[in-house]
This record gives sequence, C-alpha cells and structure tokens, in this order.
Amino acid sequence: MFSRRLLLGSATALAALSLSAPNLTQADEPTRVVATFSILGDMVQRIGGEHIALTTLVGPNGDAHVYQPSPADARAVSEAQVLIENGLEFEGWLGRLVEASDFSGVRVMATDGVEPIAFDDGHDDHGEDKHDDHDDHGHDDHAEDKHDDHGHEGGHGHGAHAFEWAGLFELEAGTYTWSFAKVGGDYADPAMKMVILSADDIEAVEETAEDLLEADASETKTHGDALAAKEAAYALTFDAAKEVTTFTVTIADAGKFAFFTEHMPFEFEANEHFFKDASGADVEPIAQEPDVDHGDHGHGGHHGHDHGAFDPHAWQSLENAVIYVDNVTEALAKADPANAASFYENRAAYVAEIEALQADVVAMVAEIPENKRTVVTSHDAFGYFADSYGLTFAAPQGLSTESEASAKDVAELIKQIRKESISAVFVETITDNRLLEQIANETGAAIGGTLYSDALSDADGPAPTYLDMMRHNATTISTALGS
Amino acid sequence: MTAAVVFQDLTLGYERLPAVQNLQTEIADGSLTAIVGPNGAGKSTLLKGMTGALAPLAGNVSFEALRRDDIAYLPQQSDIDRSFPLTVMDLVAMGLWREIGPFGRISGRHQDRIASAIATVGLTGFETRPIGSLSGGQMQRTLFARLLLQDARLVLLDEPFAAIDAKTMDDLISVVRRWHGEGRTVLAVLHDAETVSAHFPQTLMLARELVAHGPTEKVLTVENQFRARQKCEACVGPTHTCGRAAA
Amino acid sequence: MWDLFFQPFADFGFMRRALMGCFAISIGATPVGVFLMLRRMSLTGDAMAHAILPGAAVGFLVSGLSLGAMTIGGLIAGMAVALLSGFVTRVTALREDASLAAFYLISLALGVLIVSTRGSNVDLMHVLFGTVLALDNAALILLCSIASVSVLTLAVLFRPLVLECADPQFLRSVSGFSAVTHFTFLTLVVLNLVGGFHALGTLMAVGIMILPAAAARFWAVSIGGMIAAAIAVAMLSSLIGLLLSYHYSLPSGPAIILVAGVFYGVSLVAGPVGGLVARGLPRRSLEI
Repeated sequence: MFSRRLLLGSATALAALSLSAPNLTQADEPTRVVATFSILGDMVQRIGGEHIALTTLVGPNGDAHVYQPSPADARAVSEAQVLIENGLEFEGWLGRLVEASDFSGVRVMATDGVEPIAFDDGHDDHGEDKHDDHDDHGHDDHAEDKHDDHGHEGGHGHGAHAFEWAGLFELEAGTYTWSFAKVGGDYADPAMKMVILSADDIEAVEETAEDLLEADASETKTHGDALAAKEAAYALTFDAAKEVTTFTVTIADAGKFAFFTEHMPFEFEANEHFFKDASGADVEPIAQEPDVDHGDHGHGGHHGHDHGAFDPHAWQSLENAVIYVDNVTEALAKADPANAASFYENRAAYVAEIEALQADVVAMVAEIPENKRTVVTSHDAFGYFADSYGLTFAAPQGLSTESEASAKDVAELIKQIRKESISAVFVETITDNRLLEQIANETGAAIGGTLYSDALSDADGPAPTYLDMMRHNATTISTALGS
Repeated sequence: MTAAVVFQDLTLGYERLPAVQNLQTEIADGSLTAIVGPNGAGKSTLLKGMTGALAPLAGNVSFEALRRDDIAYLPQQSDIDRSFPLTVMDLVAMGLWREIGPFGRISGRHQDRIASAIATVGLTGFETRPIGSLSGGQMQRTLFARLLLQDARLVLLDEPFAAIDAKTMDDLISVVRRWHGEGRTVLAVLHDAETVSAHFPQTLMLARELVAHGPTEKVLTVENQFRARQKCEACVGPTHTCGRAAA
Repeated sequence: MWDLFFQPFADFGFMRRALMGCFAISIGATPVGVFLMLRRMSLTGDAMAHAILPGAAVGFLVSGLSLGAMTIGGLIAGMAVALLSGFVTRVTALREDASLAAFYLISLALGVLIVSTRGSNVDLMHVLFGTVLALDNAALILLCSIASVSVLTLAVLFRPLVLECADPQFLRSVSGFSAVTHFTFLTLVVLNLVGGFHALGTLMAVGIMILPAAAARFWAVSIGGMIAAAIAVAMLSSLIGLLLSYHYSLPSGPAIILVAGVFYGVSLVAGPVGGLVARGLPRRSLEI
C-alpha cells in the first residue's frame, strides 16, 4: 500500500523535475513552508530537513481548535510557497487566514487520501442504544473486523453504499431550497450526485437509489436549477464563484420523500441549515441514514457546526501518518525539485521508523486483555487510534474543547465506567482535567497519565515529536490498562 | 457667655473658588441662630465646612469642647435613597449611632426613646411604614426625629422648612425651640424673613463675606439686605446665581 | 418523583458536590448581591468580574490550574481595580462608574493579552466559564469558607452597610466608618466573585449574585426578607438548574443562571411587592 503511493509520488516528482516549472525556488534558498500545527510541523521538518524554512502556526501545547492568527502568522502565510494543512476541517480558521494574507503558493492537505471516520461513528461513547439500527446495513471489511469485535456501533465506511447519507422528509406541496455552502473556503467536493424518491421509508427505496447513483446516466444541475422527486440521479455541480450554491426542490404532492446524497449534507453547512422551506424555516429529516444525531445529541449540541462531519484527528493512526508523510513529500518535491531526492530519502527513513513504531504499538495493544480495552479521556480525539488499534475511547465531552459538559454527559460516563468496569481515566494536555479527576474519584478508576492529542509537548515534555507522542500515548495506555 | 463655634478668618470653597471669604465671628453657646443671605451667598457651604465635609481653604473653624459626634447635620437635599427598604423606625433609630455605634444592641430603653422621638414629631402610628411611601413633610418629620435621637449639642439645619406644609413647619419649629430651650446650639439656614423674625433671636447675614451678625432685629434691616445684594453682585462668579436677593 | 429530584444526587457524588458548591455560593454571594442592588451597583458586580480576569490568568500561567494561585491572583486584581477606581474618584472629578469602567476595561484587555501570550488558552477558557461539575474538595472548602467569611462580615457590618447604602451622607457625618464599610464591602464582592468563578466562571458568578437579588426585590419589603428570598431563589435555581442539566443534558452553569433568570422574570410579573400584576391592581392593595 505504501509502495504504490511512493511510486506515484516519485513519478510526480520526476515529472516536476523534467518540466522545471517557472515558480521553482533557487536551489540554495530554502523553500518557505508553513505547517498549521505542531504535529504536522514535526512531520514536515523531518521530510524537508535543511532544505526548508518552516513556520508552524499553532505551536507545542497550543490548541488549533481555538487558535487566533497573529499578524506575524499572516505574514508567514503570505510569504509561504507551500502551506500544509491537516484538512477535514480541523483548521476552520485557515480559509480566512489564507484569504487575508494573499497567500499565493501551493496549499496541501495532509489528509488527502485518508479514509475519514465520520463523527459519532466508531466512538460515540454514550449511545449504546443505537447499535442495532446500523448493523444490518453492511460494513466494508475494514469496519467489519475492527468495530464489531470491540463493541463499537456501526462505522459507515465508504464502500458499503453508493450514497453516504439518506434522509426522509415529510413535505407539503411547494418549493424548498437545498443549499451547499463552502466550508473553510471550499466546497467539500466540487460536485455530488443526489437522488430524490417518493417513499415511506429509506430502506424501501434504498436499492433503487443505489442503482441510480451507480449508473452512468445523470442530469447535470447547476446553481438555481429545480429538482424534483423522480427516478433519476442528479449530478449537482457547485458554483465555485459563489459561497453557496442552491437548488430548488419542487414537490408536486405532499408526502414523504427520501433524499440520497453522495456526501453528508452537513459537510456543506456553513452557517445555515442545508434544507429550508419557502418561508426560510429549517426542514429536518424525520429519519436519516446514518443516524448521525446531527446537532441535538447529548453533547450540548456542538457537533454539527463546530466541525465538519468527519473526525479530523487522523494523525492518531500511524497508518495515516504514512499518508501524511507521502502528501508532504510529494508537495515539497514539487516545490523544490532540486532537492526531491533528499526529501525521498528522508521519507524512506521516516516511514521506516513509523512502521517500526506501528509494529510496537500493535504488539503493546495485543497484550492488553480484551475486556479492558476501553479508555476514558477528556478529549474525544482518538477515533483513529481506536480504529487502528482496536481500543474504545469514551469521553465526558464531545469532540470540541470549546463546550461545557452537562451533568447528563458526566452521569452517563460514570454509569458507563461503573457498568463496563473501566479501569483507567486519562488526563490529556488540553481541556480541564478537574472534571476527569472528579470522575476518577467517583468511580475508583485510576488516572492513567497524560495523553497528547492535538499538539506536541515542548522539547522537555514526553512528546516533543510525532513519533514520541504516539509512542508515549501507546505506552501510557497499555501501562494503565494492562496493570 | 461662652462661644460654641469660632470662625477664624475662615475661607471655604470648591475647586479653589472661595464661596465664603474671611469669615470672622463666634456663635454663642446655646444660641438659636438663623443664617440668611442671597442665593449663592455661601450659606450651605458654611454648614458643610462646619461638619468637616469641606476642608477650609484658609483660616479655621474651632468648636469649644465639642466633638465631631456632638454635631448633628440635616442637609438641604439629603441623598437618602427613598426606594431603600427602610421603615420610619429604622431610619429614626440611626440617630442612636453615637450611642450604639455600628455593632451595639438596641435596648428597651432605646426603643422607648425611639418611640418618644417619633411621637414628638407627630408620626406615631407610622413606625413600620417604608420611607418610600412618605410625603415630603412626613419625611422631614422622620429626619427631625432622627436628629432628636442624635442628642447633639450643636444642630445644623440647611433649609429645614423648604417645601413642606404649614402644619409640619409649625410642629418642626416647636422641635427647634425645644432644642433651644434645652440649651443646645442651633444654626439654621433659612430664606423666609418672617420665620427668622418670629422664631430666631440671632441672625448671621452672609454674602460670601460677613454682612452682619447679632440680634435678629438689628441684622435683618433693609440696609443690610441691600448691602448683601450688592456684595453678592460684585463678587466673582456668574451673576444669575447671585443677582436675586432673598431673606 | 424520586427519580426526578433525588436519584441524581443519591447516585452521583459530583451532583452532590455541585449542589453543595452552588448552595455555598447562594448563601455567600446573594446577600452581597442584594446590597449591590440596593446600592444601585449591580453593574459594578459585572465590571468587577471582568476585573478579576487578568489576576486569575496570571495565577493560572504561574502555577497552572491551582486553586490557590488563581484565587489570590483574582483577589489581587479585583481589589486593585476597586481601590484604584475608588482612589481616582476621590481625587479627581471622574465619577466612580466611569473610573471603574476605565479600570476594568484596562484589566480585561490586560487579561486577554496575558492569555494570548501563551499558546494554550483552552484550560483558561474552562476556568473562566467554570466547571460546577468538577468541584474537588479544595474548591468546596474554599467556597464554603468564602460563604462563611462573607456571611459573618455582613452580619458584623450590617448596620453601617445599610447606612452606607441608604444615607451615606449621614454615615459620614456621624462616623469615619464610611470608607471602611465601602471597601470592606467591595472586598466581599471580589471575594465572592472569585469563589464563584471556580464553580460557575467569572461571568456566571455575577449572575448568581445579581439575579436572585433582583428577583427578591419583588417578594420582600425589608432587607432581611430580601436576603432570605434571594438565598431561596438562588438555592432553588441551583437545584433546578443542576437537575435540568442532568435530565436534559444542558451545560450546568448557564442552566443555573437561566433558571435564576426565569425566577426574575416571574417575580417581575407576579411579585407581590411592586410586580407588574400588583401594580396593575387598585392602589388600595398597596396600602398595607
């Protein structure tokens, strides 16, 4: 898997070399690179070495969720030739910063090619009641062997359905507006297929929808076009010049309608609900698939708008780290072909270290007894770690560090810890750990140590580099759970 | 006759602008004195200077054998918050401060004195009324009851009878006369010449500086009033505050 | 009934702690709030809450999430602003509200600046918005101590304070207690806000101080009655707010304050003392 990407990357680099594009750097002058946060910065530095001048926007122990750019940051971005971001809407502020700073270089998304985990998939720690609804819809193999063993509810991988989301709406006759907004400066995808069918429930027309979506035939629709319920797939093309592309949905007769989309509609939600009636009121689905509990789930309602639909903490899996590294290497090689060979050498050495650590982590987790693999942390940022290594992470708070926990969240967690006899609670760099200490006191679970999720520690800390961080987290967890 | 208060070349004012200049006179112990003069003559300023709220710009005020809490002062416009949840009884009882201080208990004897002070100003039956519900006259009676309890040797009143009804004024004047009878020194800023002539044996006429001080019938003359007006008009400051003669 | 009201407290220690912390704040802070309201200084409480920020921030930066450091930092910053603005008012023509506003804005800006110099400010955000669900023993002891000090001081200072509120001129004319009273009272305000921010955050702490007091105004005529009513409103708000947070998954701090806000709204309309309904009745009903 790695080698294919490597070949691809090398080929691109060679192509770039032979073309010698006009915007290339002088060989002796380091390429100016900006990485958005410390973990990414560490990876970029490993690859770039002495050939790049790196600026990291959110430094060690900083929180990229609530980062406020300073003018110096804006200047660094404006002068940068390469800007490397995590993507998956981790850096919500980046779009504005790029616009404000007249950035003219190459923007690289490190998660490009990562298989993202949807929020509330895989690590919803409270809602055990939702398991059954999903299990009969079929997972891809990846989800099958990871999730079900460890008591996760359904991970909706991309392979199972031709659609990623389906929603059932009860609609009166009339016109409605479905809108797709840019989030963080771009549409989540430039185009998307959609099918609208009259149906009493989603499952009844699911197969029809899949066939339509998988067929080659589709009607192309652009901003302002009308859509109606019929047996056809629309290829919606989003207007890059507009912040929001809207479509009119015309309903001839009142009834229930199932909408199938290739992407989560929430991925296109900036400030407004995606579906509204003629008066501008929000229209909510009466059922949806997957049941994402968008917005008003028991976490204080912060899931929907603070983040995109996916968990952005993809670096928490070492497998993904290789994808990050490949993306970075490729981008640097393009920007500075003269030193591409050096970048690929660095990459090879780094990937070797990553893979060695991967093997170590897998071995460490294997020693943890099966029934003790549930971990509680204050920051719900370990979805990828959980998926990769077969652990379950529960948290008293949702994915954002910005919102306050409710008494219900805390009570549910305590109940869960008591019921599943979870033995360790982890305090983590970010987020108020007093709450965790209280929960630990109340349940008798041990406080296992500090896990690093979104930022590296400073040089004196236990996690000054990405690899140190991953090793530290794995060791801390296996020590606490194994004991 | 001994002096209760001695003004020695006293100059008082705000922001270095003198409102009372070079006042040199004595207030006799046990006297009942009206302070009169045109608007802006410095009458209220003089009382404030006596309470110590205003430090002299020059000269001084000295009290013979009087301590600070021997002085009771009723300002013209008290800054009492009328919406504050106090009853008549609460407000009157504050007059006992000198005796009970911030932490002392109100004894049965104190209760009797409170009741008697309230009776003296004719407010019996109003003890539990919130002060917010009192009329102007009733409020002034309440404040007089508080003055009664303060049991002060020197009582300073600033326009005590302004804007109250005739019946209240009569009642309150008899309280003032009673104090006089008890040998207390009373100084009252007044603007109504008839009241002064009828009830105040001594008068101090002020127009930024002393115009005259002595027995009322000798001070309250047409010539003195004319001089006071002239002095006030000649003085510094905006004329409209000094121009209208009164008293 | 049991499940609704008692089971959360019976099952979970953190709920009992949260309730106890809130009760301590109710007892300590709301009487102070009543006096703030009676002195027409309600907004001063808000200003002081902002003024505490840089002190708490410095305390946090120096020694992390340390209860003591942040408490002391907050106290110092709050008192500095109170004393400085009082001093400026006494020596210049600037009125107290204006000088207080000036100082608290400076203080607030300083706080934000201090926070921004450190990469991570999320911990501090949590501190500033409080975590009533995470009260540990030290925090509970601090809250109870502050409540005790506050109640005792108010008891001792009751008479001068009433005078200072109702007729400051008179107090100044009979004793030198005025300044002492004023600054002791401001100290109590700062102390209670600092205590409150550990549980509810700086901004919400003002809410539990002022809202019950404002509601109590519509239920009682005397100061004692108002204090009792305010404490009752604050305690009920804490209880109901926590239960709402438990049953409906709402953030606890805002839930408590909003319940207090609802109490205020109801009092405003239905309160027997000057409430809108009572006012609408014939005047006779006011002549008790």
